[in-house]
Order: sequence, then C-alpha cells, then structure tokens
Amino acid sequence: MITAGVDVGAITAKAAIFDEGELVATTVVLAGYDRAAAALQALDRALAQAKLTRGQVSHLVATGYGRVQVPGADRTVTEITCHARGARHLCPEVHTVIDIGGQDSKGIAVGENGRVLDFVMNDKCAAGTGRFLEVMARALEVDLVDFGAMALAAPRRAKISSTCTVFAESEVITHLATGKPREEIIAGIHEAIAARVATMVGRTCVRDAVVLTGGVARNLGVARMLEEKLGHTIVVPELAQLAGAIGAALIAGE
Amino acid sequence: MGASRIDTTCTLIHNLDAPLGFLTAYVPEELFHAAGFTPLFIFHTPDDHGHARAHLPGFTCWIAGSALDQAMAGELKGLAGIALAQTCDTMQGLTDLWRRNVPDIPLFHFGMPLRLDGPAARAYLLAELQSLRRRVQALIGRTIPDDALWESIALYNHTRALVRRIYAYAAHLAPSELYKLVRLAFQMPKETYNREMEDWVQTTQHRMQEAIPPPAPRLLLIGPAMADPVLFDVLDQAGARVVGDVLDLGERYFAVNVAADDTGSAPLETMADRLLALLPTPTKHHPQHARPAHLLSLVQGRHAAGVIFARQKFCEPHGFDYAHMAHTLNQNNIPHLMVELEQSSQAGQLRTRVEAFVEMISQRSSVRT
Amino acid sequence: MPKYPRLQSLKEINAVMTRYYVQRKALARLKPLAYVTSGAPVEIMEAMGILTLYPENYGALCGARGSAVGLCQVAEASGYPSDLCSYARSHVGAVLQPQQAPLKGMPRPDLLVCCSNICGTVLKWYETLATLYQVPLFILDVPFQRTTPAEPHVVAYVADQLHEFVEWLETHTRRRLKPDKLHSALALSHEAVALWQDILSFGQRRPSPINAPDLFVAMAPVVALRGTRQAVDCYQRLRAELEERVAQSVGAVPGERHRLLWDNIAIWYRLYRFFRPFMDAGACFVADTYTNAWTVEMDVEEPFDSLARAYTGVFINVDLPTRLHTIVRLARSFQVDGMVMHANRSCKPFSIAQSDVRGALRDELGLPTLILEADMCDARLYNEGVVRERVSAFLEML
Repeated sequence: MITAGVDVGAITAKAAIFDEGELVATTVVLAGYDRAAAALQALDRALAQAKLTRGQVSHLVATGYGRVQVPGADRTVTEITCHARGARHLCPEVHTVIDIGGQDSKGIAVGENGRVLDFVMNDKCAAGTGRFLEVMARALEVDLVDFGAMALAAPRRAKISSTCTVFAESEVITHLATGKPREEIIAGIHEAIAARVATMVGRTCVRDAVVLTGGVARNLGVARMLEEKLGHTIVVPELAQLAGAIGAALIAGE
Repeated sequence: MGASRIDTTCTLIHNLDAPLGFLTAYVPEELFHAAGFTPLFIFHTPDDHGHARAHLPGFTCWIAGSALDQAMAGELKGLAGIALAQTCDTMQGLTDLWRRNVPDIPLFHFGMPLRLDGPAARAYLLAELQSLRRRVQALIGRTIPDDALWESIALYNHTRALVRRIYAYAAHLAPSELYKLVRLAFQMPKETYNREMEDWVQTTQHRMQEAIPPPAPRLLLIGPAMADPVLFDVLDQAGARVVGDVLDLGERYFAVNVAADDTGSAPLETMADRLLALLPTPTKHHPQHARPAHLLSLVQGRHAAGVIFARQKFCEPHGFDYAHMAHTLNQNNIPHLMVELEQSSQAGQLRTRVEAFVEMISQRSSVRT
Repeated sequence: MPKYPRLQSLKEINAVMTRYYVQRKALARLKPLAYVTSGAPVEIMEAMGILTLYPENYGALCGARGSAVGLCQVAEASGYPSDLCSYARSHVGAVLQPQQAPLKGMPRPDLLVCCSNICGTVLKWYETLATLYQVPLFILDVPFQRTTPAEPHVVAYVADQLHEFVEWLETHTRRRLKPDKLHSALALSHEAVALWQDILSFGQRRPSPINAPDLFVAMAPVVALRGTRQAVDCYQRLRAELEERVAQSVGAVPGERHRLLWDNIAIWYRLYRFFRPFMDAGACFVADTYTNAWTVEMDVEEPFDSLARAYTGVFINVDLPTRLHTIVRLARSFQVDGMVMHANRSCKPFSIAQSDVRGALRDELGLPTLILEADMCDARLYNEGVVRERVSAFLEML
C-alpha cells in the first residue's frame, strides 16, 4: 500500500511517500501564495522521485497551516498529531517533540505508538519562532544559514531580556551601538529564543528522547542552547523538517 | 427558530422596545424588565473603531473595550441606559470611563458584593437592589410595583427552565447550534424567546429523547461571556460536542430560579437569594462553593473527555482561576486546553489547537476501549 | 561628593525594613502571623499583637532586587498567565521556589487577610495563597465608592464586616481585642499618617527638599508599620531632616527648573535610575499619586465607623471625578509644570483612566503629560530605548 502525506506550512510545503511501511521519497518546496499548487507540486515531485503516479496512492493525508486547501486529500490532521507520529518514526525513543517553525512553535508530549499525550503552542508571538531569527538576522545583516554557527563560536553572550521581538530588535540595535561584537549579540539572540521555547515546552512533561523538528531544527545554535536550557540532550534527525509530512503519510495508512 | 444568525447589538436595538444594555453576569435583569425595559447584553464584536483604545489601555479585555467602542461609535444609540455590576477592575474602570465619555447613555452601577456568604453581604446586596430600584424609578418617573417584579420574575424563571432543557440536549446539538440557542436568550424579548423555545422543545424533544447522541468527543467549556462564534464553528468542524459549561453567561446563569411569589418574601429578597446561590464567577468568593470542585463534578457527571478554557486575554480573574483549575484537572488526569481569545480570533490558529486537542482525546479513548 | 546627596533618614528606613523582615521571621513561631493587603485595617491586628507581612511590599522588594522576573517565570511555568499582576506572580513564584527568592521567601502565614479596596486581583491572589498554604482566609469586601461621600449602606456593610473580622481574628488567634489597645493603635496610625502628610507637603517648597523616588523608599513604614511607634519615629526623623534642608534651601534636585507630578506605582527595578535623566535636567518630582494614597485619616473615638469610612475612601477606590479632583489639587498646590504617568501593566485600577486624566490636566490646567508603558516589577516589559527617547522629548518640551 502506498500512502502520502503533505505538510503545507506558511513558508514551505513538504511531502513524504511510504510504500509498504517504508519511506521512499521526501520533498520540500517553497509555498508561495498558492498553497494548493505548492502542495501538489511537492506531492508530484515526491512521486516522481519514487517513480510512482498519483493513482497509485491509496490514501493522502494533509496537515499544516494550509491543510484544508490541499485538493484530493482524504483526511486532514493537525500538525501536532502528525509531528508526534513522524518524530516517532524518525526516533523511536521519542517522548518529547519540540517543533520550531517559521510562524509558531510547539512542545508535544508523545506516548506509545507516537500518540499525543499533551501539547503546548505558541502561535501568537513571533519571539520563540523562526520569525524571531529572521528579523534579527536582517537587523545584523547576516545570512540565516550562518546564524547558528556564529552563535556557537561566541565566547560570551549579550543579554536580551525583552519578551517581545520588536523590543528585542531595539535591544540588539543598542548593543551594536555600544560596540558589542556581532557574534556575542547573535549568541544572545539564540539564547533568548532557546529560553523562550524551553519555558513553553517546560509546561508539558519533558522526557527523553527530546526530538527537535521543524525548519529551525537545522540551526545548531538553537539546538545546543535548547539542550542547555532544558537539561536534556536534543536529537535532531536528518529529516527533521519532514516530520509532519512523514507523520501524515503514516497516519494515512492507519 | 427565530433569528437564524447572531445579530449585533446595534441591529437589535432598532427592533426592540425600550432596550437597555447590560454587561457582566450579575445584573438583576428582572428589575429592568419590570420597569418596562428590554435588557440586552452588549456582546463584543471583532470590529474596532479606535475609540475604546483612546481611553482604555491596551492591557484590558476586549469585552469591556468593545462595549465602549460601540457606544462611542454611536452604535448603541437608542439604548435607554446601560447596567453593569461590580465584578472586575476593568468593569469598575469602565464605569468611570463610560460616565465621562458616553454621558447620553446613563450608566447604572450595581454593587454586587464580592463575598457571597454571611448576613452582612446579604443585607448589603438587598440595600443595593433597593438603591438600584430607586435609581431606575427616578429614570422612568414612576414606581416599579412589586406585582410587576413578580411577573418579570415568573417570565425569567420560565426562560431559565427552557435553557436548562436546551442544555439537557447539549450532546445532540452541534456546539454552534447550542450556543446560538443560549445566546438568543440575551438578544430578544423574553416573551418571544419563551414562546419560540417552547415550540422548539416540543418539536425536537421526541427526536432527542429517542436518539443516541453521536459518538463525538464530549467537552466542557469554561470562561467568560461566549461571544465569539469562531470558537463554536471550530468545535463543530472538529466534530466535538459541548456537554456542559462553566461559562459566566452559560449554564450557571440559568441554573437557579428566583423563588416564587408564595414564599412571603419581597421580590428583591428572592432576587438577592438567587444571586447569592449562583455558582460564583471568578470575581466572587464563597468559601463553600468552589469552582474547581464544581468543574470536577461536572466532568464526572457529564462523562466529559476534556475541558477547554476560553480565556479572554488580560482577564485576571479567569487567569488565576485557570491556574487553579488546571492543577485540579491534572491531579485527576483530565485533559484540558487553554485558548486565549482576543479582539478577533484567528480562526486558523484556534482550529489547529482545538482540532489537535480533539484528536488527542479521541486517541485516548480509543486506547482505553 | 555625590551629585545628588541622599537623605540620611532613608538609610535608616531601609535598615528598619530589613529588621522588619528579620524580626517577623524570628517572631513568626511565637506570635500569630497574617499576610495582609496594603489597604487592610491593620490597626486592629496591631492592637491584638498579631504580626503582619505584606506580600505587596515583598513584591516591590523582588522588583527592586531584580528577582521578580525569575520568580514570575516560576509562576508562569506553574500555569499562571503572564498577563497577571506581577506582584502576584513574583510572590507566587517565591512561594513555589523560596530558595530563589529574596530572604529565601517570607515565613509561612497562619492567616490571610484580604481587603478589596485596592483592586480585584488581591481576591484571586489571596485565594491562591489560601490554596497553597491551606490556612484561613478573611475577605473584607470594601465596595467601590462610586459616589463621594460614600453611601450609608456601603459604610454600614464595611463596618459590619469589621466586627465580623474582629470575631474571626479572636477565634483564630485566641487573643482578644482590647479597646484601649485599639485606641493606641489608631492614635499611632493617625500620628504616622499626619506625619506622612506633612512630609509629602514639603514638596510644595521651592526648591523641593524631596523627590518622588525618595518617597517610594520612605513609604514602607506607613504601609507596613502603620499603627506602630516605629513608623512615627521614622517619620519624625525624616521630617526633621527635611526641615533642615528647607532651612538651608537645599533642594533634592540642585538647580530645580521643572516641577513634575508622578502617577502610579513606582518602577521598582529602576527606582532611582529612571529619575536620573530628569534630575540631570533639573526636574524634580515634587508630588505623586502613589504615596498620596496612604493619607487615610482615623477618628479615634468612633473606631469602626471611621475605619470603615477611611478604608472605603482610599484614593484607588473612589470614582474618577473624585480622583481627578485630588490630582488637580495636587497639581495646583504643588505648582507642577507637567506630569509623568507610568502606564503600569500590572495595576488596572491605577492605569485604567490615565488617558482621561491626561486629557483633563491638559484641558483644565494646560499641563503636558508623558505616558510611559512599563510594569512595576516585570522588567521584561520595560523598553530602555523607547523610554529614553520619550523622556528626552518630554524634557525638551518643558
């Protein structure tokens, strides 16, 4: 049986295909303004990778922000449920999932079989999401891909105390004006987001293994600082960004 | 059933005789009804004309903000007055700001006591009801006779009985349908509501009594006035059923009747007794009527699978309450979700949270069976 | 020579308050201890020899010592939303994690006394404490004084509850309230309040020998030691020191050029630092609405009636027209050139009508006002950059 999962986020659309319980293809495309088109594009590219056609897919589950716009989806399931399931596939010992996306972040307590026991979300406030890092990278004129590495290289961390992204940006500017080295400010930014996410996740039960998913998972700086704040090792699977789509495809087969 | 959609206060004012607006869950509606007014709750709307925020700070809830905004935008013209009870700091502040900025809609402040226990509180409550009666009489230029009060009491008791029936069928109704029916009680003359609800009950009760409610996840809601239809639409889409609530203007508001004419007490006394007997909202204190215990017994009694807190941002009374309730629910292994509502709800975000919660509790019960 | 010499009496007051906390910790095992709200009729408890502690004062202490943010986070992690009063969040955090708190927290109370005349938050805060500590809670319901003077049935309600309160205290502490003790406590309270009013009036001098931050430090005794001889002694010394400054024409701000009015609770984690740019520009805060709140007058002869009236008529519990009247009177009699209002996220009663008050001062007196959004304890809500900009612009305008 061939099942597919599509995760349509604010910034990217991801697809995953399973064939008889084995992951055979994954893709990531930019979402743009036409989410439906992006979802189909992701799905088609994944199918092409696996040398399959749409007709061969027995079940398609859509998840993510744009899940209701995916044409042809048999079911929609929230990304909380899908990330838990997907993280379980990527790391069978998972008990806590931390998903930091472009627009929101979540902490999910995962039980047996990858089911959700509890979850917390931050979707109101940019601080604690990828947006925070984007805004800061722009303010410092640094490429986002270099951000994490620069953070880890700094010997000290500048203090950023505001909870609000806008306030924090003005703190960063003040630090720059007083001559603080850029690396220290970047380290402070990473510490701030890690602290914010750790506080949120701390409201559920944090148990090993703790798995980081979502777009920000690739930022090693955030991962290492999160470890510090939580006091737990953080597992970052290779396919972290695809946890939602993978979970959706697995749920499609249930 | 009557109106098929929820109307804004502005629209309703034009269709009603002598409308009188009110806020808070402790206004003695019967008193205003007996004076010849149609009490109308001023539900908040997502629209913001910018007036409220020029007076009320941003860190106050939109329930108060919207009322002031609607008034200052001229949308409440036609109201004979507005009544509100002493409840929270924001309502107290609104009393001051309304009097200063909306002088053409007279405001009746009703000093509902904070304590619901003891003879001193009852005596004070009675004195406040008497004071309110005098002030309303001064506005209308005539007395409100006891007979008129008894009639209004009987009418409102009838409404309460009908709403209790609606809640008895809650498991059979889509959440948006349930809350439309309850909300309409605040938006029409009680005479009309009672007539139409009697019809509705007659036609549906056979169907309800014989049917088995669908195997949908059973939820309880808790929070302040339930104005935002977005939450109920989301609950509908998630396939859940609301089997009871601890909303300030929900079940608790209709749970207790005013004692009838034959007890020998004066009508204001019986009204006072009802106000004291209601389950307290978070702004009131009764040492024996604890909200967490009530919530717990409601969960057990209604076989609810989970609780959703619909908290208005910046609401301190419900905020402190939430922390306490959450601990109680955790201790009893009852899943719960908190959604923070603001001026206008982000349907997408609300849907994700509520759906994820419903998915979570569905998996729970399937594991149990 | 420091640029702005500090008042000697303030050092003494700080020492008194440090001893206050230490003493209470020591005596808590010997005498009944009650946590009370700042607007409670503490004279009754003083007369019965019951120790009192003020979680609000403790909250301010947490703010001043920079511990409030960490403690708030403890409370938030336990489920308390971050938009609740920061005194309450800090204190609850200290109860949950005393090791992290100043002085390792306060000693356990035997009783909780909550008087609603300052805000509705205290009800929820004290209900929370009653759950955490499992000790008896007395709620003194003081209704909002929507007309001034208060209506007779309102005063009667409060007076009735005061009698109930005495019975409750007697039951729970097994001590009796003796009339002569109440008489002396009231007399001492009256004396301290009179001295405090006197001290506040020094701000009318030109130059003013006292600045608002000094008053924020000095107010602790009239809040937490009201009804004791200690409070009276502290204020006699402070008044003498102020008289000396006046005799030598010493101003709190040398070269006083602007006289300002402060509104709302202090920004505790910026107690003096906030006022520095003002002082450097020759601006002195000669009056404020916060310290003026402790000017309740007691009639020793009719204790229960006068206590009821006094505690119902506190600044923060009366209607806006009455509050405005007080503010306008302050502005006029202290001859102020402008007002700075702290839009304090944590205190709705104090902050809620600020826009209207600002409008009234502009229309009636032609006075400019600066409104600054911040919080009394939660430093995460304080934006240094924005504050500095607005203050500079305001000072340039004066």
